[in-house]
Amino acid sequence: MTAATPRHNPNANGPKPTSVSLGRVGLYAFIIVTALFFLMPLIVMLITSLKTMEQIRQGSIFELPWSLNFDAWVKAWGSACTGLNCTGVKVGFVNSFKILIPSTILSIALAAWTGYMLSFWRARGSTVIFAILLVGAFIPFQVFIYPLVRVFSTVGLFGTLPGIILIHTAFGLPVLSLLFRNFFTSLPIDLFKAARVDGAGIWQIFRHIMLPMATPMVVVAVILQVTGIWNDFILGVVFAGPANMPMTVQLNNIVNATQGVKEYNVNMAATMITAIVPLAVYFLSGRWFVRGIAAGAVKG
Amino acid sequence: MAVVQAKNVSVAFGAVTVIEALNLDIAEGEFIVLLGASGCGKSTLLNCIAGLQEIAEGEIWIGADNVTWAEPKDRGVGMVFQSYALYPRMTVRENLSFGLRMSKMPKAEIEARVKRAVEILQIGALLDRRPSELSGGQRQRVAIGRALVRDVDVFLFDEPLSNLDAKLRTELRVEIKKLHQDLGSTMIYVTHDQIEAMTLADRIAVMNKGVIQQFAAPKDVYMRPANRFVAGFVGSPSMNFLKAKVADGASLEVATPDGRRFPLQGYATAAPWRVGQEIEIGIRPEHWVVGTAPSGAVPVEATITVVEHTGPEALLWARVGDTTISVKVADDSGYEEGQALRVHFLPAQASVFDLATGERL
Repeated sequence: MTAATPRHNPNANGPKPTSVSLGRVGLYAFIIVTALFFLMPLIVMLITSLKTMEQIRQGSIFELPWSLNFDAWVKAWGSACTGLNCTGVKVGFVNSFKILIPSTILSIALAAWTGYMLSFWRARGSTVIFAILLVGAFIPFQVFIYPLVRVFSTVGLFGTLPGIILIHTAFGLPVLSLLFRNFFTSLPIDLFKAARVDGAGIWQIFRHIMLPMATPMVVVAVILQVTGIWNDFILGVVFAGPANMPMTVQLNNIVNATQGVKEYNVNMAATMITAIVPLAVYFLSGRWFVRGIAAGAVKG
Repeated sequence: MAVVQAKNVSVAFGAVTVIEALNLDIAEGEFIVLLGASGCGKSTLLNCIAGLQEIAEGEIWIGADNVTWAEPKDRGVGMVFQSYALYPRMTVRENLSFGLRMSKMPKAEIEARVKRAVEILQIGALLDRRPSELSGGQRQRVAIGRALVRDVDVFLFDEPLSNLDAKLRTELRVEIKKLHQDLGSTMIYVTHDQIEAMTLADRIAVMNKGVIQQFAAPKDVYMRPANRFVAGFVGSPSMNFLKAKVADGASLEVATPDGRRFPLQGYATAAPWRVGQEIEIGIRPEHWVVGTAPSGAVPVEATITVVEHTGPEALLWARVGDTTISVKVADDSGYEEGQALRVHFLPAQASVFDLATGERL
């Protein structure tokens, strides 16, 4: 660029930024190292799952597979053994979805409504409910497990699909309700007043005005719930019952089986299959997730 | 079109009383402006009439109905907000028809009403746009339309023009005035802008600290303020006040601190005067007469401190004793800082207030 034809602001002062500075090199080096650090386990898992046991026994974990071999994936999906059952992780995959979908929908629907009630309607005692929610969001959930087991077994929900769905819904409510409450509180109160004058009822205002505005919040809530419920282990192992064991529990049973040869390629493949859902959620919604957080998810 | 009445209304936020035992009687088809500084309770009162604010005591009547406990939608009121409050995820058409759709009105009827409102407000070109694609003035038109389609008896405006720039504000003000003339509906309009209040209102209710100070026609509020607060609040620059004492109640003779005595000939008293009573004489900046004094005028000696040119006229700030007065003069040449200035006022145009109570005398 010559002085005769300035394409930038001619009054700009200070040195022209050089395209490659030492700081920038250091920054990129740090980012690359960090990325490799987190990617390495994934890479190892992926290549190991494609190897044959014969190659794995030779010992080099970073060596690329001799040939693309999906046998371990097929076995992990359909016929890997957990104790006496040799049905692979597919049963757990289906179970996890059966738990995930209703729990996600139910918890988000209830949380959005709770947040709406706590922000716009301020019913008598809503501050108390809000305080309880706050506390609920921060108590470690292990504390609740034993009492809940007793309560659930008394009412016959222990070890059933509705039982585990209810558990996930209940545990999701405090944080999600806070999320929605904070979002709704940030909206102008005049919108709510205008809708009331317009003749909309409590449900109509929620359904037609507030919920459409809360779309970014719903996306954030879906991400939180899908990853959280899918990755859950302890609630599943305690409350779901043998017939509804989620995938994480089944994966553990396969990987930690004490009998027979440890099939590392099958274990890696089973783990990869289990991780696919949260991975997909993050990849597909990363942009939304950031936007949702920026829109008030973490605002006090 | 309906009579609106507030009977003995009190509102409290926790321990703080915002409105106390307020009475307001609005006739059918009247345009009423609630005027006051922020925090005076004017918006709260409007919310009470709309049904958005619960009242602690008293009653609200619209037409022949006691609506104190009625839902906003059952009161026959439409409301326009300062922030427009358009539903952001809906088009203009959906915004206009929202209330009607919620009340399950037949589609044909909804369309007819939207069409009529659109014609009145000339927003036909905007129907399929979202609020974010509209300018401030267009948004406020749509907001007015939302009240219009519902065919309400009472329009409530909560500082509708405060977010607009000066030019648009004037335009929309005229449109609102015209809308009132065309529809003949009762309108209640909250503002802190005096020009809006003076130009729009049939009657102005000046409010301070939750109490209505004066409820009268704009001209009366301006010319015969009921108390010191109204006198000081309405008018820009503010009314000038000179302290004095009553020397003789019958002949309206007063004595000023500098020892002068003169009668306020032609002043119409609102209450009997006591000898020795401390008073304030209020004179509007444009009511000073400079130069030849008309008969009965009272002269005041002043010293110019600042000259402000505003274009068509000039504003002189001058000292009288230890107070500063403002004088509006049409001809702005020949005035200088430090110059002595003799001004006169006609008692008939002045207002006299009791110093202690602030009431008009």
